[in-house]
Parts: sequence; structure tokens; C-alpha cells
Amino acid sequence: MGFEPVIGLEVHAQLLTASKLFCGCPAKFGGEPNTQVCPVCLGMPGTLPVLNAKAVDYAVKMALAVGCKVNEKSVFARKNYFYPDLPKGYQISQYNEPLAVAGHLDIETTAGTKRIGITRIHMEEDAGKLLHDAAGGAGYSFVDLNRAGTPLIEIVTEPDIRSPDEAVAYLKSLREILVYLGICDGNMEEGSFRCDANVSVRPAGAEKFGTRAELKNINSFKFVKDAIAYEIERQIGVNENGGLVKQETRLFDSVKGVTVSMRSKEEAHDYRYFPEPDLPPLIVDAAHVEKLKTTLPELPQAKRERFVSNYGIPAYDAGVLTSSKDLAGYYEEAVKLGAEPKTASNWVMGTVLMLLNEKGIDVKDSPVKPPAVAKIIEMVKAGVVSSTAAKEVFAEMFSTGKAPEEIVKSKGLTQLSNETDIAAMIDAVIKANPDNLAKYKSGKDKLFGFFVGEVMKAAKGKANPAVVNRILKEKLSS
Amino acid sequence: MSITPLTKDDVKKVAALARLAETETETYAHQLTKILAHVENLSRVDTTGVEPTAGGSEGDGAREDAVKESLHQATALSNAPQAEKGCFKVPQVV
Amino acid sequence: MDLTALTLHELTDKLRKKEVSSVELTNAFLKRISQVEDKVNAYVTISPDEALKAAKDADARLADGVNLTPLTGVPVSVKDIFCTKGVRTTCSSKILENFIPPFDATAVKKLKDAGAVILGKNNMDEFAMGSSTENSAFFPTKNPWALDRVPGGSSGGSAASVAAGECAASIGTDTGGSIRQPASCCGVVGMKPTYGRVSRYGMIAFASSLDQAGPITKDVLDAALMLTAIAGRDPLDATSIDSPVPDYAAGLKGGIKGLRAGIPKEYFIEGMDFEVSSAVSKAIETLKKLGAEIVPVTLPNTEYAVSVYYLVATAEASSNLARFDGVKYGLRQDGGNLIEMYKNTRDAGFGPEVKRRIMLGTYSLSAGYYDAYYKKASQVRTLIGRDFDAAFKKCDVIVTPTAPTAAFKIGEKTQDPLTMYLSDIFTISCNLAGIPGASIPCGFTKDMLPIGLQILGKRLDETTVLKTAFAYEEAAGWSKKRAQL
Repeated sequence: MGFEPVIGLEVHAQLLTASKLFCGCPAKFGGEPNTQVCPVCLGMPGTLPVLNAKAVDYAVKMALAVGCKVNEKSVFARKNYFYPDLPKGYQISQYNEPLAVAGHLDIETTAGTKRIGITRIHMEEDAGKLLHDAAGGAGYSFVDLNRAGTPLIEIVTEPDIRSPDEAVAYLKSLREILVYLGICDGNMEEGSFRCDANVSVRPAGAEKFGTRAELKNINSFKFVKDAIAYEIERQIGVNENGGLVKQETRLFDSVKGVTVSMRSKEEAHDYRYFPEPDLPPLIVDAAHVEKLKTTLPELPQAKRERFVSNYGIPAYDAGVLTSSKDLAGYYEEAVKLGAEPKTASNWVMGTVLMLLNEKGIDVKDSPVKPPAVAKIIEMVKAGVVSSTAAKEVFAEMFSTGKAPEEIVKSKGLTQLSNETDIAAMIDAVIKANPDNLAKYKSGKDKLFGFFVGEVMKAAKGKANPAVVNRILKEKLSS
Repeated sequence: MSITPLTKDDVKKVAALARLAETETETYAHQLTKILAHVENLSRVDTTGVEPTAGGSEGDGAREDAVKESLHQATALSNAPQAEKGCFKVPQVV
Repeated sequence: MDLTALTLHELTDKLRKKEVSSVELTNAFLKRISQVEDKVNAYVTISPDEALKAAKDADARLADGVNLTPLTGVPVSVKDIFCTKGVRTTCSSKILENFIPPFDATAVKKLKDAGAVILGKNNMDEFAMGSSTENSAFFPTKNPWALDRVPGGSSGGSAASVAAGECAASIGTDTGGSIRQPASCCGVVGMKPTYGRVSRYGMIAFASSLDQAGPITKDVLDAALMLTAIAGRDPLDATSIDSPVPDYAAGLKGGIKGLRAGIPKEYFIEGMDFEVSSAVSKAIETLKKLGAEIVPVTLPNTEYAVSVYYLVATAEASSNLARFDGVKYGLRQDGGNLIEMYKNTRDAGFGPEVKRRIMLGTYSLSAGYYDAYYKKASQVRTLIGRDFDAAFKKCDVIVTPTAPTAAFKIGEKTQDPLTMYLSDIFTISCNLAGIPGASIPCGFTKDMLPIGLQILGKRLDETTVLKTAFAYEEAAGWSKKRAQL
């Protein structure tokens, strides 16, 4: 009997605001422990939360980008549980009445485009951090509350995902949108983009969902894929052996590549949600939503489609070029300055990305700016420099920041394209090799390469090969 | 809703949720049952279609996204029962 | 002349006329405290050094004559529920016995900014849970009118400190009557403003949707002056109301001719204490003589108020008090592991009433009970609010007794939580509806125990409440009486 996996994802994305969700402490990552804290985020008695308006705007932008309905009224609620990284003993989140509902995201799969439903997007505050291995001895944990209160949005999908690959495609696409919107840095290592997966399996063709396990600690795309794949196999195995899948939370052990049941807590969770009395309901009126809509940038998918139709580049190229907003902008600027679109695409995807990756530089900090890319493409086209030499020139531009013309000149890389000069060189070569000329004329066509080589040698490699080929052919056949 | 007296087990469950010691469960069971019997009168009220009054219904108060000065680490930790290496120190979290 | 027997506004006059300095005044109050505090126990913490420093600053300000307020140089006290920077703040709980906040509550900051001198922190029922101040983890406060009786609660220390002349005025908090009921018990004036009128920032939360700070004073003018000083929108409290603060003192005069005073029949129940009901009836007669029109009104859902209150308040409290976990501040009692540490800490740190309420609140929010308890109570709360909306279409203020009895004996009600809960029966609805209410003295029992008259007003109409209280006070004169210690 075949089994079908059913997967739903919950993503927590940290918003790139300057201050925390409910107080004025900086929301930036890192810092000495407990230096980005105040009475509010320390949960001191008597302190109260005050909502960061920009965090709301960011959350609304994401909601709009994935086609959610933004609720005019949403309500903050307290999620009550005890944990040392949760200073108030409750997390301020949204429960019954979230900020936004009913959106979707289209992903590309091997079987074509697939729509993944987004159930809801809500806002909440992050918890602090627990360090377990700090010196100070076994038997203790250490609490750093710098992260406590940083703004998050939680994005929850419908159980629409059917494979680990779809899950990864969804996450990559979601992350790309968040980064495009400039509301999240998408950094999985630092935890600004985190994912939990609900996984179940059911007999193929069944309507009813199987019992699901919630997978945690999957903080890279590879881990997401591996963890889900493992969990699907595990659940199928349980089913095939006549067992029952338990509803539980499982942690992914990335070293062993397996998911492990978290020791069952001494009691079931009962979060006792109720409306947060310290905050008025959040009102986001339609006019404000409309205003935010006008500030949305072109999103990755729209950009890809436009690149293909406007610039006539392959879908693959468009995909690579739009993988970041900055890279797409870089490419497009070069094209707007006159570079032929496919040539520019080859340059950006090839030489530019290679050099950037080698040096670990972000495209927006690239020492070579788009006008210089357009210039070098133009120089190759005009025959000023050969495409081989152009790559050398570009590398030099990259490391010195000099203009291409300057490098070509100082390195003597200017290509010889003058027909009279080239013709004179060819005449000299022919004259010096009467034997080979005779053999060529008697049908040894392969000697054409010998003559090209001799001409290039005479030109010290700088002769324009196209011109050499053309004139040589004329002369040899005359 | 009708009141069945709270058992000692009910009280233990609630105490565990509230992180209170599970002692004097009998006294609590008795007292809480009595209070719950009193609030039972609410079941007489017809609240069909009545919106609940939640807290926080006043004010409009969001704030600008502006960074304010944080506390010094020493001040942040000054009331901590145990602190070490700039952190609050707690029994190990499993 | 005994300066400590004077009202705040009388002391303001003396300071302005340079008949006395703030330092002299502060010393006079500190001396009074040293004389009577043994009997009254109104303070958890007395802070003479901070007080004298503030008095010196106030004297400099008075000498300059700039930026003066009616509070400049006047010694006051604050309930120990308000965080005070650098001065320990206990909420009368063992769990916060040594807590020193690194910040001031907004109400405290406003008092300081106005130039008031803070003498110390008043005893209270632990976490404001109680009606007698017997639930203080440290000691009970005594009623200055009868030392074997409670001062009411939870702001019992504040009310007693005012009645005993241990400060010129005080601020307390009121979640279900915790300003008005002790004011009534101690023969002083207490006012709970509209929810959101005074910032809750730095005021240790009991039930966030009900808590409100307000003044406890010797007379109505003092209450108006104190309220003007502490009220107003606070960017640190999202539930504070963004509405201009009137000069409440300026609105007191003019009389109450034509004022419609509503009398709700649900508050005059059979079996009520006779001395209380007759004092309140006489007060209503006085209002009538002053030109008020007496209007019968009805608040039909009153009988549910106590139930709604105990469900809503305990649910919020169970969450608000979760932060006391032995990690960041306050008491810690270690155990074998984290969970044991939590339990030991909270068990040792909280008193029985606090634990009882945390249990009740946790229970009513827990899975399977939320709809029947918390949600149902919140819906009935809406109906209680509508009762007041309807009543205030027919009247400008509502007049009732503040408490069903005068101050009871210490120990009399501690055995039965429910009986204690019922002493808030007349004050609770006002918090549930979020409207303003005051208690002013309206007579004494034959044992010379004060009786309080409650005046409730429309949302944000503190002015009419205070104006009514002022007119009555002028006519009746009860506020001039002082407890003899």
C-alpha cells in the first residue's frame, strides 16, 4: 500500500525593525548578554508593552505579498507557560484573531506550478536565549534576554505540501519574498528565519489526515529536507508494522540525520490563551493597507516573468538573476546602459557572481558597478578587447576598482583589429612559409590552423581572431 | 455549567500548571469549589450574541520604531537571585 | 499647631506663604510617623533620606518661585505597589521583599516632577488582593479610628496613613474597590478615576483590565489636586487615555443645583447594616437639599458583579503573577531542578490568598473551562457596562454606600474568603464598567467608625463626581473630623 505525506509549515521570521516589538531596546542580533534589555523586556513588575508601529507595517507588507486578507481588527493574546527564557511567564502573541488570513504562495515543482495555501500570519514577540554550556558548571543554564521581545511574524501554511522538495521550494520562495520586502534578513543561522514542520502520512487516496508529528530544530534548507524525508519514512514504517504514529514534538538530530521524540513533558501544554489586557485591539484600517500596498516592491516571481518577456533571457537565467533584489537590480542597470541582455546575463551569472562568491562580497558592495559591466561588454562587442582578455580585465577591475579602458591600455590588451595591419602580417607569414602554402593549396586544409597560429604569434596574441580568420581565408584562397 | 466539586487531583493539576506546590489540596479543593459554586449564578444570564469586554479597550497607543537606551548589564542583573557571566543563572533546563 | 493634621491644600498655602519650609514639614511628618506608626503600621518602608533630599529640592524650587504646583514641597505617601527607583518595592509580598526597581512608576514620577516629597511606601494586601490589609505578608495595618479593626484594603496602608496624619495625602490603586473601601473604613476621601485616566506603568499589576491608580486624601479639594497631578496620557501605557486633563480643583465650585443623582435600587438591599443605610439615606437627603434631583435608576446585573469580578480578576492575576519565578528578581528557593525551584519559590513567596486566586484564575482559563468561566464573565461584564450606560441616560451621578458595613474587626473574616469577597459588593461594578467613582465620609456609627458614601460618574467625568462630593462635603462637614491616636 502506498502512503502520501502531508506537510504543513510554520515559519517564524524576525522583522528588521530598529527596536523591539514592545519596548525601545535595540532588536539587533548579538551583543554582550543582557545589554539590550530594559524593565519592559526583562518583565519587571508593573511594566507594560507598547506596540511598535513599524513592525505592524512590515507584517502587513508580508501579508499583502502573499495575498492574505488583512484583518481590520486583530487581537493580541497571552500564551501562558513557564520557561526561564520567557521573562513574563507568557508570550504576547495573536491567537483567535490574527493580523492576516487566507493567502497563498505559488511554488515551482517538477510537475509545474503549485499553490500552497497560507492559513494565517500573526505577530508575536521572541523569547530570550538559554546557554547550557557556558562555563560555570554543570547543573545550570544561563539566560540572556537580549532577544526577548524582538518582533516576529509567524506564517502558517495549510497542509498542502506533499514532499520534502516542495517544502524546501516553499521555504526558499517565502524567504526570498521576506528579503525582497526588506523586512527580514532571512538569516537561518542566526535564527531570523526559523521553521517547524508538521508531518503526517496517510494511505494514498485517503481523505483523512494521519496523526502528525511536529519537527523542530531544522535550521537550514538541507535539514528541512532531510528531517522531513526521514520523518516520512519513519511514519510509513510505523504504519506498515501495524503501529500507530503518536502526536508529538520531535527534534531533528542533524548529525545522525534522524528525528527524536522530545521527552514528554510532565504535563500536557495548556497555554491558557486570553486577550492581552495591556494592549488595545490592533486596528489596521483599509486606507493604511492601501498605502502600504503602494510601497511594495516588485516581487521575485513578477520580476522573473518580466525578465523573460522583456529581455528574452531563458527562465533559468531569470531565476538566478532574481534570486536577490540587489542582483536583479545590478543586472538590470547594466542592461539599461545598453548591454545586450543575454550577454549581460552571461557576464553577471558567470564572471561577476564567481568573483563575488570567491571574495565573499555581497553584490551591493561589488567593487565593479553595473556601468563598468556595460562598458566591458561594449568593448568586446566593438572588438576593442577579446572576450578572453576581457575576463582578465574584469578580474583586474574587481581587485583594483580601475576603469576597463585604463586596464586595457596599461596592460596592452588592446585588440588589433586594423585590417591593413593584419593583412600586412598575413602577407609576411605567407611569404615566409612557401612550403606550407603549397601543401595547403594542394588540399591540406588543416594547415589553416598553422597559419592562424603564426599570425597570432606575430601579433603577440592581440589580433582580433575574427578579422584574422576572414582575411587569411581570402588570401589563402586567392 | 454545573458544579461538580473539585477533587484533590483537579487541584494538583491546576497547581502544577501554575507552578505552585501541590500541598493543602483538600483545603483548596473545598475553597475553590465554594467560590465556583458562587460564580455559578452567571449561567443564568443570557449572553447570546454579547461581545465580551476584553481588557485594553482604551487608548490607541502604538509607538514609533525608535531605539531607547537600554539598562546597563549590572543594573539589569542587580535584582537577580543568581547571576554569572552577564546572565541570569538558573537550574539546568533539560 | 499640628501641621500633620492639615489638608494638602492648607499645607500648600503655608509653604507658599513661607510659614513653613518643606524640610520642616517633612520632619514634622517623620516625627508623627515615629510617634504613631507602632500603633498603625501603615508603612512597609519609610524613606527619610530620599524624603529630606526631595524636601530640600522643593524648598529651592519654592524659593525660586518658578514651576510650582500645589504639591511642591508637600509630604505624601504611595502604596507599595508603585515602583520607586532605588527604593524597595514589595507589593507587601515576600516574593518581592528585597526588590529595588531601576525605574519609577509614571504616577510616582509625576508626583516627583510636581515637587511632592515621598515619605515612604504603604502597606497593602499582598498584590492588592484583599479588603482588609490583613493579607500583607509583613503585618496587618490598623484602623486609626479603632486599632482593633481593619483599615479596609487593599490600599489600607495608604488610607490609614492619611487618617493618622502620617502623610498629607497618598496614592493607592483600585481593582475592585481597593481605594474606595479603605477610604470609607478610614473616614477619608478616595477616588478611582476612569480606567486609563492615570497611567498604570510601574504599578505592579493585579488585574490589568481593572487596575487604576487614584488619590486618597483628607478632603475633596486634595483629591482633585492629586488627581490633576497624576492623570494623563502616558506613552508607556497603551491603555492610557489620550484626553486633556482638566483642572479638577477649578471644577469643584458652583454647587449641584439641578444635578440628577441616580439611586440604584439594587444597592439598597434588605438586611444591610442599619447604621450604614441610614447614614447614606441622610446623605441623599442632603444632596436633595443642595438642589439635586433624586432619580431612581436600575442596574439589573449588579448581582453578577462579584462573580464576574472574581473570574476576570483572578484570570488576569494568574498570568500577571507568572513573572515571579525566581529567575530575574525577587525571592528564589532552590530545588532539585528548575520545576522544583519554580514551585518552591512561588510556594514560599506567595501568601495563601494570592495562591488561591492564582489557582482560581489558572483553572478558569484552562482548557475546557475558558468559555464557561472567563468568556462568560467577560460577556456579563459587557452587560454590566450597558447597565451603567442606560442609567447615565437618566442621571449625572449614581450614589450608593461604599461598603455594606463599617470597618470590621481584625481576624473577623480571614477564615472565609467568600465573605471577604462580598465586602467589595458595591465597589466592583465601577471597575468592571471602567467608570470613575469616589468615596467620601458620610457619618459615623455609634462606635465612631466612619461610613462612606460612594459617588459614581460617567466615563471621564471625574469633574462631576468631585463637584458632587465637594458640595456634599461642604454641607456635611465630616471630612474635618480626625482620628485621635
